[in-house]
Amino acid sequence: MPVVAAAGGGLFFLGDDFFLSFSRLLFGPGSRGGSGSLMALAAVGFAAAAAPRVCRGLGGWMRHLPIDGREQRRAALVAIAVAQAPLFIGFALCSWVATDFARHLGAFLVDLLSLLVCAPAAALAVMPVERPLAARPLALASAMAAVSGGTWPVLAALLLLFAADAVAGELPRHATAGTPIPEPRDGGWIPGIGELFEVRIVWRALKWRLLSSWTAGFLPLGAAFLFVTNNELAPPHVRLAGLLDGACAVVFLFADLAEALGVRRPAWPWARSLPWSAGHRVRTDALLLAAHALPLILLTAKIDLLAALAVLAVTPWLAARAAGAVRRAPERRTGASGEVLLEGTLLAAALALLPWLVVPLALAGAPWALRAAAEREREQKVSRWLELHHLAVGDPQSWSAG
Amino acid sequence: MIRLLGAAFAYRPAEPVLAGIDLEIPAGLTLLLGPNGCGKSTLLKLVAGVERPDGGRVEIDGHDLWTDEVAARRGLAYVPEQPDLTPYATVREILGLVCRLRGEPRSAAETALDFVGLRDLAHRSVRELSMGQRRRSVLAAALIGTPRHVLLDEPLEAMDRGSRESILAWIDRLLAAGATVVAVSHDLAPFAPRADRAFTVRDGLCLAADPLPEDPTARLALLEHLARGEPIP
Repeated sequence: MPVVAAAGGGLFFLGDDFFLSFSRLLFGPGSRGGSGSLMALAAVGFAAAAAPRVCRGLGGWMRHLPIDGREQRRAALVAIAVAQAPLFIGFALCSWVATDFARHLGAFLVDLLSLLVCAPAAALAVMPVERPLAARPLALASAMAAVSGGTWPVLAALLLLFAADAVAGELPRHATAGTPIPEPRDGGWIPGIGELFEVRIVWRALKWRLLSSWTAGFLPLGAAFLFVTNNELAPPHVRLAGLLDGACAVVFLFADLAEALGVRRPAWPWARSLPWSAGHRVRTDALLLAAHALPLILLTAKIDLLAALAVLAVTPWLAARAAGAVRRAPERRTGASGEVLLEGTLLAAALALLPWLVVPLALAGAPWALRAAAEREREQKVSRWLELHHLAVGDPQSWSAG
Repeated sequence: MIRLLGAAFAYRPAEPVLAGIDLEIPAGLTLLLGPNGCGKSTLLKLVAGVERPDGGRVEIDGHDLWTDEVAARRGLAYVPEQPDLTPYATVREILGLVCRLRGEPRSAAETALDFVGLRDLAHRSVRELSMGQRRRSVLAAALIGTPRHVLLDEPLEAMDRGSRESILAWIDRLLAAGATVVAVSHDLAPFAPRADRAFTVRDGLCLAADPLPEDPTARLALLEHLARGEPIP
């Protein structure tokens, strides 16, 4: 939904002309090859986000019910296809515009049919099935063919979809898997740091997600490098770019890490009975977050050293706020990232404009931010979900189910 | 001594589970009884420091659980009904954390693992253990150090016969050492002869039976009464 809302908002700001051109790019005559592939990939992306949540818990008690395994898998497929509805409603609107507000009714109906075939095909391409090697290529080809334009490709896509469905089989026994959890093994795998329990937990929870978080952080820095390299700028403007993009890089990194931690490493109720304080847990998180921001700050130093120092000075405040946001994530529809992005981008803008004011304020505010985060840690009702719902596994609304 | 001073708690704002409980739990075995959903486990979570009361305070040996967090929890051991250990660590690593926080040597974890019979499985994540083994893992954590206040939520549930006997023997040792043991259990027979007092939670408030009758039949009858959530006669 946030992606669709962002796309809608973007289109609103970009205006009618852009929307018309975009619609014709997707559904206009002679433009369906490349744009069709993009639409199919977008559908597969939506389905991939929905599939783990829909399929979680389908491997257990459900299996004893008097229903064929294939039917169970088809029911899950329909659910994943329905989860793509916001995307396909957007595509249908584009087709409505591209076919001149459905004056070419035949073409509009073919487009609708192609979307109706693409949705289940995309779902089948990513959902867990008994024979994925046979089913997934067929389903992917079906999704691509469905939106590649014209009546015949849609019919071919339909045939491919039936073929994929026929070979897919049932849901696999391990269909409950959602967020993959690496198998922990004893031993300090990085001497010194590996001995720290909290570090291990965070790294095992994040695993490869760390790379995507860093990628999010590198994006503004890349933009800053391009801006600085391709323009003849006065030193104050280079510093401005370094301040804004360096701070944004840290904010994007923290937003993604906080979001991932909120989902993959939810509050651990029993551990709260152990003799460690909420402040200790929050400080550890903030320290870990800040440590992960160091490569970004080093890259900022390549743009401007003073800008990097200013970003380094605001990092403890940002890390403490992000550690606090992790604790509020289950209560917020925007998760932990919404809060971090909102506060962080405002701070980045303020840092770029008024560094002499923001740096001392952020330094002085860091202890307060840590105390506020610790208070959030204490405030959490960590067993609420279990007490009110009694089982997180299999419930896609459970935050901890990921 | 465990003290609750006007402790109130709710999972949903308008539905209080505990409505201002004043309670003192001295050393000895205290049973917390009552029907499902009355708030026994929630009360135990408040005492364990898992949940913070919305109102009032909880004190352990005079230390406030939420302002003097480490000191209050130092002598506390909690065995929850749902053994919610993190899946990102092995049993041995979790026990290592408990040793570190309680200031005990790592060898204490191995001793505890031997006691619960999990030494051979200690390299595994809790996801690879059965419910009974998970519960034994949490129990092993409670065995580390010398806890003065032990909170047990259905300690005999999902345990085999040998483990039940070991747990009851451990409780006897704790009681002999002067510890405070609070147990939530629907299984009354093993605890009835050992109990010093019993409580039930009704309409968010605690009803106490203290002291319990000496006569075993009258004692069990009273405990059955409390377990069904009926008012104390």
